[in-house]
Amino acid sequence: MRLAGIQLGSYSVYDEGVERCLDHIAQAGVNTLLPYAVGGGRMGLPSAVLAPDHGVMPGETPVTDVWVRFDPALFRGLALPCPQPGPGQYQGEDVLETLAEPARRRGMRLHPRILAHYPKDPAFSQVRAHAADGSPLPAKCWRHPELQAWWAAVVESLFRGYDLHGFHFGDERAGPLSEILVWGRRGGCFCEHCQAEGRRRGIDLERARTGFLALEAFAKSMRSQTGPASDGVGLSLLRLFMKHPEVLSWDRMWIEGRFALERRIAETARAIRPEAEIGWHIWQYATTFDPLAKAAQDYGSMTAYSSYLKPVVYHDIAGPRLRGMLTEGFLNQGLYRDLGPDLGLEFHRCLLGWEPVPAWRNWSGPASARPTLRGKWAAASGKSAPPAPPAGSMPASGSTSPSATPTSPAIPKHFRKPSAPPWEPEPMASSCAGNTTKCASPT
Amino acid sequence: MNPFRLSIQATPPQLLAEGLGPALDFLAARGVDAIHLSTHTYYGVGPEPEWSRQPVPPTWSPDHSPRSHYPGRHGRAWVRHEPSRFRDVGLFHIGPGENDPTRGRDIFREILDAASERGLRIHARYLDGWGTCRQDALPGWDEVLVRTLDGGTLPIPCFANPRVREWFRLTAAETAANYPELESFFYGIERGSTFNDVVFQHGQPPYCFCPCCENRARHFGIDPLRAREGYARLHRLCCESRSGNRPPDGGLTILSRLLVQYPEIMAWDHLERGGVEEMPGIARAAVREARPDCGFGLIAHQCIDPHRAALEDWSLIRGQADYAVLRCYGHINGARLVHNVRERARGSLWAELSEAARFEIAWLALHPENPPMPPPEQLDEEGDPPELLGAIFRRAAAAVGTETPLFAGLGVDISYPFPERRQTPASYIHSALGTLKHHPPAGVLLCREYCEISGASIEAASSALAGLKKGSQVQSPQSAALQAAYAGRHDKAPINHPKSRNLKVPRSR
Repeated sequence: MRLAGIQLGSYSVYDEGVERCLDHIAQAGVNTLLPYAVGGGRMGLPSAVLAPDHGVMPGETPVTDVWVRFDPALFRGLALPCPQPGPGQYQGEDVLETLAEPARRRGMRLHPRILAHYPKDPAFSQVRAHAADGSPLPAKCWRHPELQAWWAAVVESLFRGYDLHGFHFGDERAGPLSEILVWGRRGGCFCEHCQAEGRRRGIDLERARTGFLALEAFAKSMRSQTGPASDGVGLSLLRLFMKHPEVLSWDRMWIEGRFALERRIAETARAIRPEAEIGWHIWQYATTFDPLAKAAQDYGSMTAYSSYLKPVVYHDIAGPRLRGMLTEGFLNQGLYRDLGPDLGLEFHRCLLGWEPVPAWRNWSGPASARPTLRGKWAAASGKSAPPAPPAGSMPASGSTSPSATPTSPAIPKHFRKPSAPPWEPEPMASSCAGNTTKCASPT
Repeated sequence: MNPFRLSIQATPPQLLAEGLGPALDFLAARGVDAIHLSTHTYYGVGPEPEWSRQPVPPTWSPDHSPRSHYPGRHGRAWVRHEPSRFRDVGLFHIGPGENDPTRGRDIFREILDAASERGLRIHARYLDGWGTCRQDALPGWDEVLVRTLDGGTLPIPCFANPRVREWFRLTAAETAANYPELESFFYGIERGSTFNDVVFQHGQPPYCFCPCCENRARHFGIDPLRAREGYARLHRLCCESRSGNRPPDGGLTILSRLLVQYPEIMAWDHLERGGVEEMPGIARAAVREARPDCGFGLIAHQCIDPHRAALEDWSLIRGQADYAVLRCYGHINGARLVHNVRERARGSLWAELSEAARFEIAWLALHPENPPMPPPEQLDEEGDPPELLGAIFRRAAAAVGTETPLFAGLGVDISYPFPERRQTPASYIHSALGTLKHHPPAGVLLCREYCEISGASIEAASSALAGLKKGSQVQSPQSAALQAAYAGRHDKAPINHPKSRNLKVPRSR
């Protein structure tokens, strides 16, 4: 059966009322609902940037973070706790129970959805990843047995507790190479479980450590005012990979750790419901922005345990987002800092395997013909928007911030050089009217 | 004591064909004080190209070249070796052929003596090659050549093979020991790596998958089967790209995916390249053991391919040699770059980039100081701007550090495209060397071969070098390092060495 799905923040079911909400969705021919089982709070966006045709505006009160009931018995004996609804509007509601009968009547299937950045419970600090020097990282380690057992319990609880057709899981996190080179953060993991796996694979742990520390030092110098060592970014990075191939091996190990967890999730679900459709959310960094994340996103390896893949393309906002990403992330003291805007775009295009793309100036279209977040935000907030930059203008390579360059385009906050970790959702950069999938997440 | 101020590369038959005395006088009269003399020529072993059979090949300089070839000029050892010393490793050198008029003579010795009479110092020059290198023509070498995925061979030796290493150790040691007048043993490797060659260079099949390398890989925890699988896919990708079949996802995308999916690809490259990078250490130790007073020099290549430049890590030379020579072929680099970007890249994965982007990316990678790039036509015609030498030299000097004196290896009068002779203008030589005035090199080595280099170019280099020394107000770090490196070694060396041929060559350990 063809899947025509829609993602939705579970609060929409209650804000709009379940019957009204599903009627609206059914008009579009949607046959599968992907509500958040956990997480997916309000985006905090002004109403002006939200779809205007639902008839009911979403509320503004912060909502709870757990929308289903988990069976505590399945978490007994685990080091990590059973998810409990946190405070907030709709605390205690069960969205899968709420949707079950109305969805069935409309022939809609239920695929609850979870993004892996949940949960933020302090107990999860015990499964944190570790950098090459042993210091803990904010992210969790895929290979930690307690985390794997916890995810298995989450999935088992969902499939034992509800009559589900499928499950949709996503992780908006790139591998250690991307963490270091694209996001400018520390990367790993070098926890005891990853070290054991590394040894099992025959990777020289000390050389891997040395390589990662060298990579972090390189990334730091790349983002410095002067740039990396005298040979420039491209040569220095290629040389680093040649000298420390263990870095690539360790990165691969991390990627395979994620695949292993996904496989376990799929197997757990199918052990209970063999026909369950298990799909994976693949974030836009791995499809459009980050060549390292895209290289790591091995669809072929995922097909063995997947019912479907959902690569996020967001074609209508890809241009502006990429423009911001390249300007702030890659060109300005990033991987393409030596190349400049036009050459950087051309190189990026080839790295991602695209056909030739329009020049920068054509990406946003005429300012008058294309509403921007800047304009909508101003209208919604009653503030006057700063003057729009001339179409096609780009800051020179090496400029420090878009605001410092009068001609720079508005860069959505989500795509500025990240200051907050990616598992902290930030507001969407644009409305998604016209997409097959309604965007109710930051992804 | 400076091992040389102005030296030139030469091969024994070039000097002999011209007449040893006149040739050396020609050099001495133009300020040359040393010769980097080839000890072996294993470039060119095998079939000769048609142009080189002409009585006077077009590559030769018209102002001093002989009017005919000297027999036996191709592919042999110019120094004497004792075959019995190589019996254990089963790898041998090629000596003079049956009809070679130098058979029974030690022509290297003859040149040493004649040079010594004129105050010219001789440095032994050994170059491990690629491309036209046909080391498979050497006796016994078919067993130690690099292996491809299907078990075939390529005509270069596997440097991880203990027999090759021992052969080279013996070669270096015997050369240093047999010719005590030698100022130094000067070593260079013109070789990329398996990843580099598969993806960027010649479209070669992946190597080295010989049993020795596979065992070595297992020792380092690299799975040979995964490496084979990864390289097979990589090679297929490159072959398809060359035949014009762009993969739907894009060649560079697939390349990056393969690198991430098969980390064994880079690990194998690192392993294979490691064998190459260990060779200078072997040579240096052998030379030192045979003759503690003999210097040891290394070539630092200035590359015209960004990927090859990444391989050439000048910092590896730091502390590994008594001196290094940065070899810059500025006058033909522009034309080579244009050829690479326009012709060679056309069938490569880089073909997905526009030609303009390929030019810009290559230029930026090779010149991170970001000097303005001349138009391709100008690069093709005039070469790199001569001013670039100063920036490249400063970068290399910073990489090798002050403990390793750096010489400028200036390429002049190099034919391009082969065999079309390209005379370097004296003004170019003056401009290029003039850019070194704030960071004077310890000396200059004129590269490529004596028979190609004109007297005018030698004179230009000599006068530019004199001006450089005169204009230099301070002692350069290179000169200071040189004095430190050579202190107490060359001062003790006698000017006229006894012609000892009985020095003991260290045995294999």
